[in-house]
Amino acid sequence: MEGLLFYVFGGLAILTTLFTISSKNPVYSALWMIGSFAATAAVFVLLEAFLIATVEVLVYAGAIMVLFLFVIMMINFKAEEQKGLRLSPLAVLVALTFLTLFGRAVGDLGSASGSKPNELVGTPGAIAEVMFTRYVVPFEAVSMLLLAAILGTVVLSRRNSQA
Amino acid sequence: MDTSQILNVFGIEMWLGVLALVLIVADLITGRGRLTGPADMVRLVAMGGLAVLLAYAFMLSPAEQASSWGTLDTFALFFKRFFIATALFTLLLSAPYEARFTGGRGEFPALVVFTTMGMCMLASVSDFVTLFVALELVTVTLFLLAAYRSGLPRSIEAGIKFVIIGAVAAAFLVYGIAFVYGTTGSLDFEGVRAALAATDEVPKGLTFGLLLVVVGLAFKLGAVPFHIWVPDVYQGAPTPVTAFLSVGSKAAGVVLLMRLVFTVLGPVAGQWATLLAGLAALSLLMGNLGAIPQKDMKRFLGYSGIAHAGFLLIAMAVQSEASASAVLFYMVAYLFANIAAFLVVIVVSRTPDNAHMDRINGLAERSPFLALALTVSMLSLAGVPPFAGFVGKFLILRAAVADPALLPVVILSLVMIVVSLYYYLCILKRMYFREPVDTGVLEITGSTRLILLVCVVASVVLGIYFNPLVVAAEKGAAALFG
Repeated sequence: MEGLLFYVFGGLAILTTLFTISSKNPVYSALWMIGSFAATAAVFVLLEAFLIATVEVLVYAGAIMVLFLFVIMMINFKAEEQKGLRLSPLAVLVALTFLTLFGRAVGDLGSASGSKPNELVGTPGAIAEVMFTRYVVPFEAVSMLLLAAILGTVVLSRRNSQA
Repeated sequence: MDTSQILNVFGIEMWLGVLALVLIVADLITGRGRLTGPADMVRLVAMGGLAVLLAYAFMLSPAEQASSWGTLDTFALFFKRFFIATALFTLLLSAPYEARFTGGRGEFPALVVFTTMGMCMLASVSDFVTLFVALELVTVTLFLLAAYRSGLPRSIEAGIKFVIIGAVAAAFLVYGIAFVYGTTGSLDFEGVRAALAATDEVPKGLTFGLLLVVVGLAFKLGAVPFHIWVPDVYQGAPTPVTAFLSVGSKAAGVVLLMRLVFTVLGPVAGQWATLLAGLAALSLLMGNLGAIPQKDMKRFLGYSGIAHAGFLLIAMAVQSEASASAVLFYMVAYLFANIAAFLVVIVVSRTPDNAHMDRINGLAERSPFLALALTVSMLSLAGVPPFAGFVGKFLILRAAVADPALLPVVILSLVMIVVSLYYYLCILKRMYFREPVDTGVLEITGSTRLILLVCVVASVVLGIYFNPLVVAAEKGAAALFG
């Protein structure tokens, strides 16, 4: 059952992502992207990564998509609408090379030593524990990163006094 | 968990974080009248703080043993000193440039200190999570610095290009880390190294993951084919930021790539030599040939930076202790040459505000001192004896000829040195044999003179009396192989 659900949601994620990049209308792209996020969240649930699934829905499908839609509405995308997907031969070549490498890597994954952990690691409690013990240094660094980002945003959005 | 253990490794980073917070507060206290003041309080505080921390970094001794938080070996210490010195130079460089920051000056030093904090963390990382976060701290603050003159379209353009390329690079990196974790079940460098050493046949998923990580880091280094952002961002960013990017950001890529290649990939390093040598060859070709037709000083220095990334990659392909120490020496030589070059660019590009190469025409007539400084810088970058750049190139090539498989790349690099001589000498020709296009008086402050003097003296002294730095570099590199 779980296996079947995985293929259903995985397939949905791939399909919606394809629609996202091939839609000519940016608003449609954004809407397909919500579907892609939702399907990915479902896959995370199947992997018992509950916190990440919740975050995927709340932050990505919620906050970030709203931001996307706002930007799309504020900038007029008329010119882009007509274009659609352009493929240059070089891009196709690079993408195919990458796909080949990816396929070979994934095909070989079965031989890897990684195994499914025997206890639940995807719950908020479990994640909080490693975040505040083993990974406390990067956690603190993230707070500095956010502070720096806020500072920079203020500078960039400030009206120039004599521009 | 013991906080003192963490601070043993990340003490400098903590103080840098504190300094950044102090700067933000100082900026608020000194108020808005600063824009016309003679000297910026915030910048002076930042420079003082960085100078103290630099002294502290020189007094610090490496930690006895590696902890799970990070490593503070001689290699990490060498680069921490390097990064703090670079930040200090950047702030000194921003002094004659500051008047052009119309959107506010006070935040600039704080952002530079934040970046430095990230860079220093990168020197000590020993797991992929900290690596990613520290790298993003560096990258995000550099985006903001590149777009700092938000009234200027080309600065905004540089910022946006940098954001997009940086996001792509970060995506490669994270995707690679996911594969590494998926195949080894470990995010620590030590665990991945053990997994690589344990099997005869490395799982393809792991190789794929590590390949993507290398790609993500090659973006930082500005190596071909991941160099597309370099010329545009270098040209558009405010010049002190370009200097910071060209030295600090490149060194951040170098420090991570060295850690990865020499320690994590240690067991299978031989297989990666070809890839690194290939990247090196492409960077040498693209950087040197691309630099020839450039008409903008900053773009030109960008291409020259790509060429230098090629040299650094040769050293990483060799994978011996000699080549690792050569990289450290090379970076220091590159620091002094580049800082001098960008400072001259800042002074000559004052009014009107662009760095077209015509601006340095006849510089020898207008200011013999500036011309001399740029001459030394160019000759050091070209690798002409008796300047520091020559010793750096010599050390790398001496390490590289020990490996017969790398002979084609070594020959290519020798040809490219000749090519690079041509375009560096073109700059000298402009300064000494052309009529000046600008005739205005160049405003050279005391601090400008001092920095140029330091850079010139360092470039010459390190080219002749190079032994102390070579010893220091060997000590730093030895930690990677210990």
